[in-house]
Amino acid sequence: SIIKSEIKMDIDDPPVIYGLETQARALCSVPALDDSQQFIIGTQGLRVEHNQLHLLTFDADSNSVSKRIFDHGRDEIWSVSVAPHNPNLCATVFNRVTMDSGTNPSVAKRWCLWKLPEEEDNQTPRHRNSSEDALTSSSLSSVESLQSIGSIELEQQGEPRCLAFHPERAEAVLVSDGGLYQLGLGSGAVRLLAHLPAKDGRSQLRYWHAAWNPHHSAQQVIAACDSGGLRGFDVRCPPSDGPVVVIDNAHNGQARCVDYNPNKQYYLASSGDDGAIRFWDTRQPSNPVKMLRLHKHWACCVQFNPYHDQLVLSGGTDAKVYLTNNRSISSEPVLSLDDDLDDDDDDDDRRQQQPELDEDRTVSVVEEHEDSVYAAVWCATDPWLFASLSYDGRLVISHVPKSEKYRILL
Amino acid sequence: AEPDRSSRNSRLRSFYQQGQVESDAASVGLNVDPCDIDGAGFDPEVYLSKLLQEQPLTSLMAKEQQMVDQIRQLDSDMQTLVYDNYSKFISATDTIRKMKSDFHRMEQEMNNLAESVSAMSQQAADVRQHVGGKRAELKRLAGVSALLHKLQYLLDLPARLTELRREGAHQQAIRAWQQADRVLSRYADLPSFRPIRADCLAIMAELRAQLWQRFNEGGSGTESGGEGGSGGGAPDARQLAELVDLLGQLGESEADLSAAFLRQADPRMQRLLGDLEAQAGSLQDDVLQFVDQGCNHLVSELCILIAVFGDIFPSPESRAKLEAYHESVMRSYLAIVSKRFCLEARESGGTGDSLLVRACDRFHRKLQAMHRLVTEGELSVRALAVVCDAAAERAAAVRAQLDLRLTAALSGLRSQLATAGARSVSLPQLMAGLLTELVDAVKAALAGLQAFLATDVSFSLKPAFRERFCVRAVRQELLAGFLNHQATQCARLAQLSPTPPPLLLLLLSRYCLDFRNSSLHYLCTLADEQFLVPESPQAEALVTPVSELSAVYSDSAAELLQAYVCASGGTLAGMLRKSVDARDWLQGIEPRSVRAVVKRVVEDLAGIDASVSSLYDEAPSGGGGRGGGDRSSDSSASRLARRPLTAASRSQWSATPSTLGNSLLHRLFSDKVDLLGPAEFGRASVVSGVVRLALKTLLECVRLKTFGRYGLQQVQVDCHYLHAFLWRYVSDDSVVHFLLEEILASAAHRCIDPVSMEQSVVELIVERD
Repeated sequence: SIIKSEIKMDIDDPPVIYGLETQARALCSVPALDDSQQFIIGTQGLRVEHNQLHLLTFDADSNSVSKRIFDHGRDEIWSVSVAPHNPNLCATVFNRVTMDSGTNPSVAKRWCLWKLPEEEDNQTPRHRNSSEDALTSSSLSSVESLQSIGSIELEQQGEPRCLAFHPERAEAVLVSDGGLYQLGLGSGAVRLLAHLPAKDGRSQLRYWHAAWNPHHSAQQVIAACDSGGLRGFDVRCPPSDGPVVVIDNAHNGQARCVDYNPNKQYYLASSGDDGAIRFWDTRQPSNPVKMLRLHKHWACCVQFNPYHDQLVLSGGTDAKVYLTNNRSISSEPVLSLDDDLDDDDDDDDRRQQQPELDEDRTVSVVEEHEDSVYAAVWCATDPWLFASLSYDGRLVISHVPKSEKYRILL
Repeated sequence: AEPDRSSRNSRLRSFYQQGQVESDAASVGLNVDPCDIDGAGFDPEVYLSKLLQEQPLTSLMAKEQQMVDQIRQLDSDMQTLVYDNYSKFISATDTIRKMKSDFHRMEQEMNNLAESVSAMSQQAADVRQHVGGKRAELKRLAGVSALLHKLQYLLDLPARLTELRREGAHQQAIRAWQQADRVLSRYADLPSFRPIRADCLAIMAELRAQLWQRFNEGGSGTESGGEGGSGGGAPDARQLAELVDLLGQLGESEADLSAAFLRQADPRMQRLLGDLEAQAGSLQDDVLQFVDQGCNHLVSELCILIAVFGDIFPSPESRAKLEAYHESVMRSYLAIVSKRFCLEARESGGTGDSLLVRACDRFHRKLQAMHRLVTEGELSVRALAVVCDAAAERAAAVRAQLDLRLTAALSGLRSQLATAGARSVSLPQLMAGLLTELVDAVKAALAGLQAFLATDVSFSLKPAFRERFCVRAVRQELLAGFLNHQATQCARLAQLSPTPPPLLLLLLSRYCLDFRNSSLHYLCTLADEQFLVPESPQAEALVTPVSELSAVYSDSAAELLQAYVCASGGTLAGMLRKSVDARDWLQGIEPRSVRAVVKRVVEDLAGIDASVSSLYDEAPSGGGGRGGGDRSSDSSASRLARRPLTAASRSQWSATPSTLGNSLLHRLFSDKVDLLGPAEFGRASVVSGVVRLALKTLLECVRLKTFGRYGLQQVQVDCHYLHAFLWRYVSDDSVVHFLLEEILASAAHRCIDPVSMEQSVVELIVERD
């Protein structure tokens, strides 16, 4: 009860809001080496001269963000990702509009790897950017330029969607209409290692998103299809072997996002156009382990907390971001019987006070967004911080409520 | 003559009883009549003068004559008396004289007697003097003689015992041996007795063996006796009791005997149990027969065993042993019966109820009767428990049938909806059919189970049975369980991943709602009445309250409705998404018509609207005044198509880069619209939910595309068309308005050459379609 009163006294930090002037879809967390809490977002302005990547560093002490801005030219950014093995290596998928012969415009989706320039020590101190002046401050910062590492043209590439870096090795998978392309990124050059065509028998699939399985030295990758299914591949097998995991009709409509549980083998989560978040055990693909119906429209993204996998973040086009605790299917051990017997009285007291302690529940809802949320990610270095980005260019950096944090930790 | 007699008698009396006369005279002294000739105060002078004065001569003469006669009479009487007394006196004198002479003779004899007695005492003293010394010797000799008799007896004992044994007079043999054994064991160290004792012991051992053998035969005899009928068992039991008594006298402990007794009875019991067990696993024999067999053979057998055993071994230890044995047999038996009953309850069809009830009843009665015999062990309670289990199992089986019925009904409904086109079936009719079918099924199930409560059934009034069967099994597990199952089963359809046909969801949502309103309370009350569920707090604690079930149905209905909205909205959304995805919005010609898919969406929406309105009225809460009219007149459609052309919408449609900012500002100053709120139970709310879902999807799809000039203009045309036709289906026009504006704004934003079409041209195209 002492702890509880402390929790009550501790008021949660308010979320920090950072605004862009253009629309935005691209957000990812940066696994910074110095454990600073960084996010990177990309603007999506079709007719804007200078699209930008904003590298934002959250300062927990002042509850504010500082930023670095990188120029991305006229190409509007659809997706951004940062390599876990090298936080300076980043990839974007973008739209390039070309006007051939003046009148006939054409648009092409492309992708590119970039190297973020090192921060110079003697540079002017980072501009502090609190939530109040978030909307007006971007022009004050100097814009740095990105260093292109390269991109390769791939056969039957179609429209690229996103690039999923390997969690350990210098590898990545490019998700595109043409299938999954396993890329080697070592020694400063991009090589095609394997191509997993997006074919399901005779019918053509379109992949939307993919995630690596972090277990067993990450040899499997799973992709979400527009048909609503999920397809998992083992990169050690020849592409002709086909998928090792097949989950059909994971979603009614398109499957938009998929994420592996970082702590519990075989478990993954998927989200899709039916607004549902479904949790799967890849050994029993016929039925979901659990389903959450929180979003009233498309559920665009879902992600397990990288440390406490009972915490799951999801964002949707209903402008809501849900943080849920799914303890029952997490790697967290269920409160054992022995505990019950040992200190019965204490437990009874506690249970009466917090009857919902061990139940799955929605922990918090981010209400700050007013437009569709296409991306919501956990901070790679802080398990209690997450960010979400809505289409109107509003980034909200939120904290896991302290009460929840203490419940998990204590 | 009469007065003469009386006067004479009184005179005589006065003669003999002087005193009495005097007292009489005193008592009559008050009126002494001097003329009464018999009275005490008679005065002759007065009397005479009175006579002389009063009487005439003739009567005087008569009187004189009469008096003379009387005097003469008196004289003769007196003479007689004197003679009598005199003769008595003479005879008395004679007697006294005779007595005097007799006494003389008696005195003489008395003297003789005294002499004889003194002579006898003299002789006795002489004898005593002579015999005195030899008395001790005599006594010793008599003792020796007796001892010799006894020794002779002992010497004869073996032979006698053998004889007795051969004759089968075990009782006497044992008594003889027991008497002799005391002596023999006392003098066992004397060499001469040893062989006798050894012989006897050998004989007795043989006897004992013989008895044991008989005893064992007796045990098996029970078996064979039981086989032939109940007649053979009783005499055997008496013999057994005798044997046990004899063996007990031979020093066998009661514990051994009772154990042996039970051991012998056991194989038969086990065989009977085995037979029953074999039958319990199948439905071949009817259950009544099974119960009869169990009762008539096993239970009767057990009763006999208990009775006999109780007679033979009355000690508490043996009783405990019997109880343990009885307990073990009964446990197996009850388990077997329970198994059979439960099998019957599960497997038998609808006709099984009465048979099972009768079987239960018979079983229960029999065991109750047995309970009177064996008071310990709560036999009656356990028999009731078996019956309760069977009844509960039956209820569970009925429940399972209901569940199957529900599943069948639902899948039937599903296929009906799938085969018949959406428009060719009447949804309210289907729903009413489903409602009737399932309510009737529940009613029939309840009615069937009432057989357990018939008044002639022995257990139907037991409180434990009522609690277990009526309250828990029927009211809670069957009825509340089924009702809950039905609601959740319906709701489960809403969560299936390949969603079932939307119409099914819609229909079931209405079904849940109707069921809650019309049948839920009725069925619960019906069950309460039929099964006499008491209104006690204990019963209420066991039963899910109707309000809770009602809430479950409401939730299911809401969930199904929401699922319907999602499914049909999703169908429309899917069409829109595919059409947007498939089209090249960048290149393309100037729009000349509304895209076919948009028209199709509007058409489908009309179908959806028709289906929904067949089941749901306008929104129950206010605001349902608008809409609901026929979607037919083109004039009204075109009139309404022009309606939204306000300045604000015009500015939105001229897409510029600032559109987003405007939209942001718009959002900042307007209330946050819950675009995709839950649908209420009303036509307008449901259909507008579908519309909003479709439009929201269109918005999201547009945002994923890049548009050329004509692409944007096509979107403009489509939106205008939608705007013209969607108003009728929605409860809140502003939401549709807002979404269409958003679609246009997003399309403009995603357009590399944002030049919008003239509003009048747009209207022209839309009107032409």
